Amino acid sequence: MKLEIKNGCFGYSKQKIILNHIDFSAESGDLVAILGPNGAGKTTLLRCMLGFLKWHSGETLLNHKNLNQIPIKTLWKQIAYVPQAKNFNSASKAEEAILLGRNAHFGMFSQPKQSDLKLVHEIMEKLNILYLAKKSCSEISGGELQMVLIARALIAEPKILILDEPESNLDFRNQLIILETMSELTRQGMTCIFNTHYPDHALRRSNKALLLQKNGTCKFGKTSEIITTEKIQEAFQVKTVIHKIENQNQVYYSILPLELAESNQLSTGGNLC
Amino acid sequence: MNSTKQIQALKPVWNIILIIMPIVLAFFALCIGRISYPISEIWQVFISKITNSDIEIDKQISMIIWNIRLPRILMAMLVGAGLSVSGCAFQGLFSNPLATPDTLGVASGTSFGAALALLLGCNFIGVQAIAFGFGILAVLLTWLSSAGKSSSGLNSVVLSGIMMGSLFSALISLVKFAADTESQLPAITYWLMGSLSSAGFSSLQIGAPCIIITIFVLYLFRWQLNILPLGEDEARSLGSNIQLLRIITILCATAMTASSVAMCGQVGWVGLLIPHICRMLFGNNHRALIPACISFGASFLVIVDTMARSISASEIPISVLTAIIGAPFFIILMRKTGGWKI
Repeated sequence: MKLEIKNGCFGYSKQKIILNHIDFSAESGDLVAILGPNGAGKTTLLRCMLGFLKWHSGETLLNHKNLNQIPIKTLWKQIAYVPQAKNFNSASKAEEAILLGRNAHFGMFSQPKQSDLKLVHEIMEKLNILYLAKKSCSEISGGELQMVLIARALIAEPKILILDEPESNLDFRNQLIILETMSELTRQGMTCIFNTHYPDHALRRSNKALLLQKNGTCKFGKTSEIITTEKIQEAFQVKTVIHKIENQNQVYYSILPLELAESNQLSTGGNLC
Repeated sequence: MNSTKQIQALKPVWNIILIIMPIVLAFFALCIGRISYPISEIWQVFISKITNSDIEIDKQISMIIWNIRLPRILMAMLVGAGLSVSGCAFQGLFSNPLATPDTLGVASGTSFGAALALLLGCNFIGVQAIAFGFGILAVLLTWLSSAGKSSSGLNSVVLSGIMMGSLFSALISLVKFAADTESQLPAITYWLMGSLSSAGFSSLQIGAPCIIITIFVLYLFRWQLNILPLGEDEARSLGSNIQLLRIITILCATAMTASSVAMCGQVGWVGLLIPHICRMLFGNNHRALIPACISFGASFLVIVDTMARSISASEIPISVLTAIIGAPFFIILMRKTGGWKI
């Protein structure tokens, strides 16, 4: 299963181009992080990638086939999308919400079967959220809701999982749960693509990274080549340092922001001494 | 457990209650009225009508039960079910608990059509047809005026619906202003308050098929309706054709509201009250909600209409009673269940 973007360009109006010549590809087992400053168009990129918005030029290809030419039910059995949990508002029971993910496998009038409900419980069990089954989605925590949305995506049995800021607004235990879930899924051969605000998470988890710039262009490649102090400074205008931490024979990388870069320093910031 | 069996959305006991409740209530309603009859007599009328036999029964009793009460009760059931399902569908569509069958202006449009037809002195069938036509027209106008250049989504549809509703309300006032105060104005006012007194098999023949078919379509789509309240991207990512689903929902809900209002005027409250009662009892799963709305809506309107025609010597407008009975009941239930969410 290969997902590619070839020369994608997009802007909400003709004058202002947000995404400029995006090139990207991901294959089975890839964990791809999409990074970029606020307003650079990370969510827009995901929406274009999935065909919710139409590229002005360029295209998304799934196994070398244009995404728009694939029938919707076929397409959404292969790709699943996990929206931002903060936009979710529904008071249905968690198991009912997850069952909706099965829709791509159903015909127009068909009703869910007992076997589908069994599948829901199996996936919830796997993600350790079975205890949420009968709870209302409006009464569970943000981290739990995010896991419910991931379960809803997984129940379609997709090959590619696309997540929009899955670990935002969560405490660091829940962040770890989400990140570990993604790592585990890619180990099993799935492709995961996620937007994130944390270069640290990209550095630690992903094998490929896409860094969006303010001018709409992007840099894409192996994580170790993309998340470097120079490229981060160029994209975010922040000076950083990348640490190497050794703990019990394991090596971890961590990125620490130091200060705003010269070119974009706040006007009052320079003369504080 | 058979794994290919459908998941039960309701407990089996509720399934039975939902089917039996409106039927039992309808039988009781047949007994009650200006003159009360025992249930055995009603049974006899039914048997003689169905088997065409000549059992000795009073012509007058047969006439009252078969030609006056029965069509009226059937109409109450249909209108109650139709308005409830329509309200439920609109609430899901706009993911807004305050949505009613009139959100897109259909009830106002239909009422204007009826008022106009009464002003022009049309007969009963004419009133019904013109009313239905204007109801559909109102929704078409709402849809066209909201489908501008920028697709700002469903909020603009709701806004234009409110605009269209107030436009047609103004036109109704204009018709009332122009109407003859001796004969036409009371007729229009009475019609606007809603009444099932004009029910007969002939008016049922026009309105009933439309309501039954559209309810059945939404019933078939009951699982898909659960996708409606989600965001657009989310719904598409579940592999559903959300645009088509929205259009089908609006068409069905509109047609059933227009036929209901065309048959018996504006019956307020049912479309808001019944869906919410069902949501409190059964949750937000449309697989349970749609059948529950059909059953509760039908039962509620049969009860209310029976009271409207039998409490006092002259008939009480039905909208008055739906509010007087519905509001306290609704508040009690809301306090007991702690409210609801969509």
